[in-house]
Amino acid sequence: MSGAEDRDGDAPGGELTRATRRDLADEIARDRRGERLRVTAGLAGAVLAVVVVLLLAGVR
Amino acid sequence: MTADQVEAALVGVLVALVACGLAPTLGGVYQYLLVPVHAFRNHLGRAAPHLPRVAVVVPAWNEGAVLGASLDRLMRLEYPPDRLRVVVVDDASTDDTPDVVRAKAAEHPGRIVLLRREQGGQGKAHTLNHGIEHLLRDDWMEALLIMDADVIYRPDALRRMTRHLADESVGAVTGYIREGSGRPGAVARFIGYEYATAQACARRAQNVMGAVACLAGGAQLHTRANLEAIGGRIDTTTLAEDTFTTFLTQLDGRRVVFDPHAVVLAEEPDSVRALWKQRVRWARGNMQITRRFRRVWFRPARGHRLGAPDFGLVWFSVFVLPFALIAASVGLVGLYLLEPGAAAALFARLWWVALAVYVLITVTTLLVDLETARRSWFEGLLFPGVGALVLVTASAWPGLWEVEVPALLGLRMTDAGVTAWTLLVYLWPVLSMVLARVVHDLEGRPVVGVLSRPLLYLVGFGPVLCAITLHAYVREWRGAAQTWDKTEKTGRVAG
Repeated sequence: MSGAEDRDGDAPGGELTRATRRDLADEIARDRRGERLRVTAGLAGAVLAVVVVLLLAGVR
Repeated sequence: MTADQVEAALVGVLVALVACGLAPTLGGVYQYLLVPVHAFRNHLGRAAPHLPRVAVVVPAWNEGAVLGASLDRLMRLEYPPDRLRVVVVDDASTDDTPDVVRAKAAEHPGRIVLLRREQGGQGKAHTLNHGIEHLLRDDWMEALLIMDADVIYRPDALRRMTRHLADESVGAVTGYIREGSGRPGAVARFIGYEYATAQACARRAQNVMGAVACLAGGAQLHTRANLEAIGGRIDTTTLAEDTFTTFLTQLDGRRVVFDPHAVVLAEEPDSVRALWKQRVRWARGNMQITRRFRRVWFRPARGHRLGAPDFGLVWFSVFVLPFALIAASVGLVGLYLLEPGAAAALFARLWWVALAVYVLITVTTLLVDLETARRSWFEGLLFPGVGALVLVTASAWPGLWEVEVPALLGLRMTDAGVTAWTLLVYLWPVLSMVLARVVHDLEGRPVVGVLSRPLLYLVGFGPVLCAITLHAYVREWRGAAQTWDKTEKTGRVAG
């Protein structure tokens, strides 16, 4: 949502304009996708790291 | 009972002590296993475009150095200006705080209001209540944002929080407070990593559990309905007013949500002394909360998940951590004196547990918050301290430090030396907490003060936090005066 849209974000009566609503909905969708990528990366990294530890344990 | 039976019983007790030492690890591992689940189980699915009228209350005592920048950033938030008002409650400051606010109020007429308490020093909760009382007098406010005077909101942070209030079951939302000093020193970088573990990761896990431990004091957004339901004021009897409010909200049947994308930058202490002062207050507050809500723990109930066993495990894992370290050391040393072979065998079996947990937590944390990882990866790796990492290698490769390393130097450790080394390794969890206090005492002293930073990395930040927590428990147990020691802020945040 741009600054200009901030100022024009409301329709009369305090309702959000269609454009503002769409921008905010897009942002939610982006964050949902970002959340999946970020946390899945965390899981993948952690699993890899634990595998390395187990390999180390095996060769010790 | 024969002497052998007594010894066997004693060995059993000591092994149990070592096991107690590992117990808090379970809480940590459990939380980290939940972090990836947050990818699919979070509140974003129930969030919706929603921009309520938000009143921001900013408690301020001698915040002249930081308040101007915070207010400027609030005025630049990507949020409809007619839906955002700021009330600064000046807690009888003796610096130029009122002048700074008046100047900003003149720049933004009608959007910034200054309230002044003539009698100050009663603490943050009293100051907040002064502002909340003012805001509840009319119907304008639909949501209340409580923040600290020094924090800097990213332009999109507030609207990323308000979207969750579209779900009427939500009573409050908190954002991700990230350490944001422009040129952070060692302590601030450690805190940056700590916040990534305690917020970016742990709060995600708490979202999954359905029970959040604390709305960050610098970023808590309440619906008006929630605020009124919990009494229209902030509790003034504990040192953890933010946690108290968090618990009341959830006990009253409303959800608390953490949004990791709503980022708020804060200046955190960059010295162990300042950290000690701040965290003693926090830990005492948590002890008060634990006692005050004693009928909640491990008692599942309808309407909230604070009493769920998993949330209790997570809460008490942190609460008992200093005692766990002591138990582990006492158990290992006791076993060494009774049955040296049993102590060595137990110690050797523990190494993979410690290493796996360390790797799981460190890798996940660094990958979940790459921005913090860039700033604090070194502190993340050394969070448990060089000493603890040496301990892990000593456990994984018996003889490495007593035999192989001295042999490389053409030396041979005597039997007394091996005994001393073994005891040092077994006692390290306790010794590291003692040394943490030495770091505190050395800091800022002429000449020897330079040792405090290397010693901090040797001891590690985790043991420093444990030592502080232990100190706080002693103070609380002794009934020390409950004072609001403000953490000094200098305006180092680079937003």
